[in-house]
Amino acid sequence: MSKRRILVVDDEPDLTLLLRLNLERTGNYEVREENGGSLALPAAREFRPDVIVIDIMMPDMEGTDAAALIKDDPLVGDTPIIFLTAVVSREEARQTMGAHRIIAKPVLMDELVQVIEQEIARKG
Amino acid sequence: MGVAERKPRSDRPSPVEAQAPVAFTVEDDRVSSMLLGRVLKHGGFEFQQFGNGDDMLAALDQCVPDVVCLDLGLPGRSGLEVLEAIRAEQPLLPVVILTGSTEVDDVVTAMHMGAYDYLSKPLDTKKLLTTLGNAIELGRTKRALEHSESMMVENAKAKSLRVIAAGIAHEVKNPLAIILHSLEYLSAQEIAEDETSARVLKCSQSAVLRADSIVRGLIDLSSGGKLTLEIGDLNHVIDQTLLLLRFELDQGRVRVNKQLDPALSALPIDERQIGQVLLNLIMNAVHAMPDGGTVTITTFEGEVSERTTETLWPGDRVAVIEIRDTGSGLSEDAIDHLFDPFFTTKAPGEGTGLGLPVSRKIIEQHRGELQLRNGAQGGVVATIRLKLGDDQ
Repeated sequence: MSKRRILVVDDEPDLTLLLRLNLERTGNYEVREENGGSLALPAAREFRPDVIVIDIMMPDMEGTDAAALIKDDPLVGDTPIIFLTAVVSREEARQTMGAHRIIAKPVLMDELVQVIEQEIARKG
Repeated sequence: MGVAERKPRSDRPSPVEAQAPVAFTVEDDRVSSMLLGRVLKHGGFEFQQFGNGDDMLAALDQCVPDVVCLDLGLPGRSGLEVLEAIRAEQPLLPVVILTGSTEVDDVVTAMHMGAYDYLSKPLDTKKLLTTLGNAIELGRTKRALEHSESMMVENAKAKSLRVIAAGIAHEVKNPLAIILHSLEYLSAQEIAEDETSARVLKCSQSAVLRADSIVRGLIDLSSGGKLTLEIGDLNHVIDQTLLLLRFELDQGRVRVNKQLDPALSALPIDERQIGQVLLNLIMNAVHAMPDGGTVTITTFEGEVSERTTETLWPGDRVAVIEIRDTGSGLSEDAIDHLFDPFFTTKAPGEGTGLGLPVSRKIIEQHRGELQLRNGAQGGVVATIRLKLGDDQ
């Protein structure tokens, strides 16, 4: 089976590097890193990921806004999106994230992998 | 005059505003004092009369009146000294000076010191009552203003704490995530094949998760925390929480004894938040019994018999959850500090010291109360009381 493609977007390059290293070492994923919300849509159109993991609070463009752009895109609009957030108000999460999954940082890799697999399975 | 030294007014019983106004009089001349008493009685006042300043100041420690009528020419401590003491102790308490014609300089000084007004003897009955009425009105307005100012300060403090907590969350959680992912990466490398190195990595990882749980607790504690209230069944929430804790209960060799009232009324609750409180309390019970034991969870409906909090009144119908353990109970010192953030009796690394303050906050948001005490048969009893609506 070919590797799943994961697009990881966070303004912290160290974090995207480590997420890439950890996801790639499972042998199941091919990962592309981007370090700004505004780069998410162009990267998604080019890379055609199976899942997008994206931070919410980024200086250039919020993850939620980037996700809205992606959702409206005819090419990649149906890509499952997993939000990462450093602010863990569950209440806020419930209100603003709609159908998307939201995970509080820091997340254990096992948990992240589990959510990624669930999202891939859900999309079918 | 140090405002900071002043005891808060609410510490002492004070006359209820709707009742008759209360006056203290300080007058050494018996005849003048008697006449003054008569006027006050006629004006609908309740009053206490004192022959010297020291007795009045002692009484002020027990009860704060609405106004003080103070004669300046007193034996012992002078009228001005008594005024100074009142101003230091109760800066909002209005003082009306009663004066003979020979004390003009002292009257001027008294007014500079903050006396409300002065009246010359012999006293004009109508003028005395009008002046006292105005003085009381001003005192009440000042107190109301002070109260709303202090509420504003409290709100501002809570708000800035929320902003700080959110800032900490963002600034601390990203580095924590980076450390955690680095440790996870290293754990999969050759270095982790060495047993000691693997253990070092494991220790670091649990330290990161501990730091994270403290940050989460801080956010829970400081957040405005809107509740999502839906009519729910407390017994159901208890069952769900126990399911979640099966592993911890087994591992701690803790037996659960459920005595749930099947007829318990449903009430508006945020099930997730109440579940969080139950989880905290049950885990506390498990930690309190390192050699195993029994947790007894009881639910029933009852009526509040005495007022212990702002939210529940005698006669209110409440749903009660009691969680008892068979551990060694709490020391007096621990009971005093249970709800202080970061206070913990658990071993280092086991508790954040935020579980109980967060739990109490959640229960108070539900307009209920959470109390912990030592049980009559040993162990700790945690009691949650939630108000039932009038139609339940």
